[in-house]
Amino acid sequence: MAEHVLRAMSIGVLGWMLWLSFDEGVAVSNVSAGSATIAGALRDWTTTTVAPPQIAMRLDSAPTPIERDWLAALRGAGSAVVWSGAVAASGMSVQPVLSPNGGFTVTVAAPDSAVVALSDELGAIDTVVAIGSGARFSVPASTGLLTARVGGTATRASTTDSVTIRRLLVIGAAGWESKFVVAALEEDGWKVDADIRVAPGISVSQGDIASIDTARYAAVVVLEASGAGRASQVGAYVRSGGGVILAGRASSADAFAELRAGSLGTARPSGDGTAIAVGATTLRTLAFAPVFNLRADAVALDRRGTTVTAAARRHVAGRVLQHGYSETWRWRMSGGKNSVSEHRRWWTLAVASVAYAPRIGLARVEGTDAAPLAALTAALGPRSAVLQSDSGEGARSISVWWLFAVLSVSLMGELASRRLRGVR
Amino acid sequence: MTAIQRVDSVRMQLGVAVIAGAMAWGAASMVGVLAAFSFAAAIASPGNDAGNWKLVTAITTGALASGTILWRARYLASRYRVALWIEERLPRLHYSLITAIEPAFAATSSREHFSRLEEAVAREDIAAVTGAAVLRTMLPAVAAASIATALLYASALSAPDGQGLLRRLSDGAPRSTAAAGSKLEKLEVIVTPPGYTGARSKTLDNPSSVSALTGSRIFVKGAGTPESLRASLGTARLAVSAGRESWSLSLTMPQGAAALALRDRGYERLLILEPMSDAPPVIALLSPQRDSTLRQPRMVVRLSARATDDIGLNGAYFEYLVTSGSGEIFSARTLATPVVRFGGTKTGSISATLDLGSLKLGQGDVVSMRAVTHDRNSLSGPGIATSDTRTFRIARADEYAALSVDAAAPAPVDSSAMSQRMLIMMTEELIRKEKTLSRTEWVKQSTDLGDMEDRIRKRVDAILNASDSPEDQSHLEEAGHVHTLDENAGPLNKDLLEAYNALWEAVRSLQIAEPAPALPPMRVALKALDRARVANRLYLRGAPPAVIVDLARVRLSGKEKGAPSIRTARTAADTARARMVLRFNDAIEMLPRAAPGALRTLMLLRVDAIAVAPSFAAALGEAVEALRSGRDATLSLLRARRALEGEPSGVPGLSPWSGSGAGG
Amino acid sequence: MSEFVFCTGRYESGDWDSAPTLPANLIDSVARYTGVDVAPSGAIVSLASERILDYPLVYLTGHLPFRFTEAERRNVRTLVNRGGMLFIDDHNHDIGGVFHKTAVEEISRTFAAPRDLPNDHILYNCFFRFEDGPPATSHELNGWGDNLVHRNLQAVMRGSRIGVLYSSKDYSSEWNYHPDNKRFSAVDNTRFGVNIIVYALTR
Repeated sequence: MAEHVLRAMSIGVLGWMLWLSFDEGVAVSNVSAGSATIAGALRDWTTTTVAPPQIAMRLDSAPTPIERDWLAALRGAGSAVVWSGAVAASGMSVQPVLSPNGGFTVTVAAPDSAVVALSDELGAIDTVVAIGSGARFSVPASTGLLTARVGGTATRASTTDSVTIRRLLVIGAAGWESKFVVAALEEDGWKVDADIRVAPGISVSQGDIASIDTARYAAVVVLEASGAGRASQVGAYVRSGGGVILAGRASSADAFAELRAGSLGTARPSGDGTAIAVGATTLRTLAFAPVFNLRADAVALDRRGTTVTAAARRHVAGRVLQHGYSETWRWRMSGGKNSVSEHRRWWTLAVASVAYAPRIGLARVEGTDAAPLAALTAALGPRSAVLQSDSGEGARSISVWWLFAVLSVSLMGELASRRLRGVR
Repeated sequence: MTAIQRVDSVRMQLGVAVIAGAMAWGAASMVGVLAAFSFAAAIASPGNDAGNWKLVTAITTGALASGTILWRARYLASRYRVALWIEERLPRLHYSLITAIEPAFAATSSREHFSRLEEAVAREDIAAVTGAAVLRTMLPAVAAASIATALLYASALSAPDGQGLLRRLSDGAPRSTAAAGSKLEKLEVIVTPPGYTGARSKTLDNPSSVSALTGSRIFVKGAGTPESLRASLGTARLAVSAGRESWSLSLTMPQGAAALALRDRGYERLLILEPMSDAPPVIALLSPQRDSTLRQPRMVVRLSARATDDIGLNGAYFEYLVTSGSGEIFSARTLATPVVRFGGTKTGSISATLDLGSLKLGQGDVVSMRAVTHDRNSLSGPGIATSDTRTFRIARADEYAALSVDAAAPAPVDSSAMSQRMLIMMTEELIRKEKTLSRTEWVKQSTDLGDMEDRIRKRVDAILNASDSPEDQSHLEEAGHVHTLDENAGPLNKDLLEAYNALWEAVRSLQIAEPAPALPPMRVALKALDRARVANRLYLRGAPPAVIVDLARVRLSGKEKGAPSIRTARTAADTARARMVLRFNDAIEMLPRAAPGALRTLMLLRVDAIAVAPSFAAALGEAVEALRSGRDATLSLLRARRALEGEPSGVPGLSPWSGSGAGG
Repeated sequence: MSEFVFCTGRYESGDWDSAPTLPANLIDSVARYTGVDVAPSGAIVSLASERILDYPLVYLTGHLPFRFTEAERRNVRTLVNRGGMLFIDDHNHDIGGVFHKTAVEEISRTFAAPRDLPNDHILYNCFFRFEDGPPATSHELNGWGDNLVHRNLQAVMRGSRIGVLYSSKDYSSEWNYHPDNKRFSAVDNTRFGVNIIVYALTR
């Protein structure tokens, strides 16, 4: 009797499975999936004979571009795709640093206090907590695409341009600052022309400085007020797109009045008035002249306390950086162990922030997804407030396996029973 | 023999045969499986060949085969079943055997009936049947075992190097990651440090790099014959020698990092050589701890010093430098204590005492003392180290007078003293060369010296008379006028007058080509000039005069003008590092698609980095080891990249000012 | 603009202050001929103090044996490696004297062995022109052979620039006088000192 029952179960299950295989889809009215199950769900929804009328996505991170495009295709095939969930708004931009040493500046837009983890195809690079609207990374080099993870959302980008680095022109007077600024820039790989005044009518020069224009120079660095003799040339250069750094008391010259970001105050002593430990000179302890009365379009780049030490502005097509440090050479000479490289790096970044550098577009790299939330919204529409509850999600898949298990048990049970009875 | 006894005998024979046959079949199965794997390994390219699982499979197969046969022969456990087996093969018995062994029949039948059954059983040749069955059981099993063994032996031979699976299993050979036949797969490296270190040789088993002192002897050995082997260090080929079933080569650790390239037909292997240099020793003067100034040269100074070296010290001693005199006129002598030998120890101490009184020091004399040590480096050294110097000075009598005087600028007579000293040296040199010079040349050189001396005389004269133009005094010279010493003259004039008069004599002698008589007055003049110089200036140690220049008055007042000049650009720093960055990035990109080539690039890059970027080289070494052993090298490569290209930095917040947008 | 301050280095082992008026003399010359912003008086700084790094050009002289302590060695090495320059002048005018031997030994030990600086180096043309290389001092006897004339200065280079400039020509004697005494000379013999300073400030 038991054997008959088991046999009947086996036949019944087989019949049910056969019927399921021919089932033309009394499709469930809604299907849904989450970020973790989207991959399998997309396959299921695509392979059903009848597309689900509504697909509801509960997302805690942005889907990959392929998944997003897939959902858009389902939407185009007639399924209403809606989504909800806390997908972090993030965007990413990778810009080459205008420096002979290369490198990239990666800017990631992210919600305040979000953890931004940057990595490339080799591995993790750095992790920063966003303040305000994002975070910035300075990356010497990377392998393949850069990925910034904000929450569970992965933003991928690579640089879209390469840059042409041109020469620099340094104008100054014979002294330690001009010597070490030129040295730092040259040691960091820049090609530098120089006009260093030693005596009236007598200069130490380097390079052919017949004209100052963007065809030759990426930026001009003016170190002393004596550079005012070339103020008109520099002004024309900036108006045509060039970049200039007015360092120290250079900006106090009236000839540079139209360029500067603000007025230059009286020099303040080094440190905060207390003695600086020997070997501890840094940018933060250098003497400086404050930049005040900033112009309306000027941006304060660096401060010491509430006092602006560096500011920048655009002037017509060019850029101007003005800072109040006259003796950055002391940082190199009297700083800590890495002061030489730090001094070089600071000057290179200062130049890079204003330099004129023609760009050459690069071929688009596959796999980039620089603004996932924006792309998701563009593909599927805005976030929905309420989603219908799902039914039948995966039920068919689960029941097939249960059926198979029941079939196996019933067949083996019947066989065992017959064997025990000695019947073959 | 009764029927029961016969059946038991048959049962025993068959049992033995079955057991033996089962064992033979089991062995044949096991060996057959091993042979199959061995043939498969010879044909296909081996990956990570784990022999153990194959052995387990073979044993399991053999056990299953034996078990199956034993199971099928389980009927032998029953006497009745054996009797039935006999009845089946001897139908003439007509079940007399099975009846005869039935205990119930024996109990109930008559003796006569039982005897007839026994006789019927005895008439049949049960032994023949049994023997045939035994043969049928044993022969196939033995044959199968023999064939399987032959196949396994053939598979062992079929491997290119005769190292078939059986051989490898019996040898317990380690896993092979190289293609079968590579003579570079397993290397043994013996490093023998230079003799002066006294250190022992060490043996490295299959290393990827060798780190040893420059000058160490390196012996590399591998299995196989050397015919197909090529070894090179840079562009230099190295000779490979043959040993007993092995090859070897020998080289010296170079001064700079290098890669030893080994090639065997299509196989290649790099061995990175990392030289370590013998650092120079270090010696510190422990006593005396500071400099000192003494009023009297009476003191016994206790000296002690401690030396250390990374390998071994040779010896150390103290050195004293005694200078007497002051300003531009002084003499110096050097003394040293005997060398204390350390015999190669890594640390050592020396001590001595110095009695300043024995040096016969005078006022103003200075004794500088320091310790000196050598190490035992006989290849590139020895390395020498000196300690800080301690200075003991004997004060001058006037040093403790309280004076506060602005020193005047030095008078031009300063240079006269120096010139006079030079002239004395040149006159002495001329006298020494007298025999080698012709008369004409002798006269010329002597008169030239006379002219020089005369110029000094005129300068002294000009100072004496406070005149810019010594020529104004020419009337005095023409008359041969000699200034006489005026007793009322001040100290300055007295010395200058003495110098002037002595210079006159010297000039006269030189201009008549008699330099020898000129020397004594020249020396007198020198001393007088020096006294005049010192009298004119107070030498205040530690507090030189502070002269403030009136910049406003003198600014750009110079008559002469300078000229513009051209500056030459400095070269970029770290160009070697920039090149390494490019190579490293290329190797990283190559890793997924051409791992062996990328690994080679990284190894060669490490060689170049050892001297220039040691932290990058160390991280790269870890990455190379990980890649060679098949482990994940991501972390090591990340560390290497950071060491080479610098740390990335992240800052929270977005800057209101981005990079340049001009032109793009 | 930061001032150029002429620095005399004070070292432990000898008579570092044997040319006390030289700094003022060279400061005067720099002001006379150039527009360099120079401090009116010099500074004296111990080589053992890291404050020496505030003076990228350091002048050293003496007559007596010359030895660096470890602290002095460390600091001068840092000074030169970071771009500074040492100017060391033997205040004796002789050959192979004690100062020369010990100074060359210390320079070799701290940096590298000094080598002859070619007489057409830019140092001799960077402001005033000295066609024949380093100008002779008044007590040198040119043309006499006997190796008493030092034809070259020596230098330890850092790349293409001079890191350590060593002189056996005794410019310390030549320039060690009150600047007011310049009026007595037809030719200003401190002009080469101006070249050294202009070189240090511009290369």
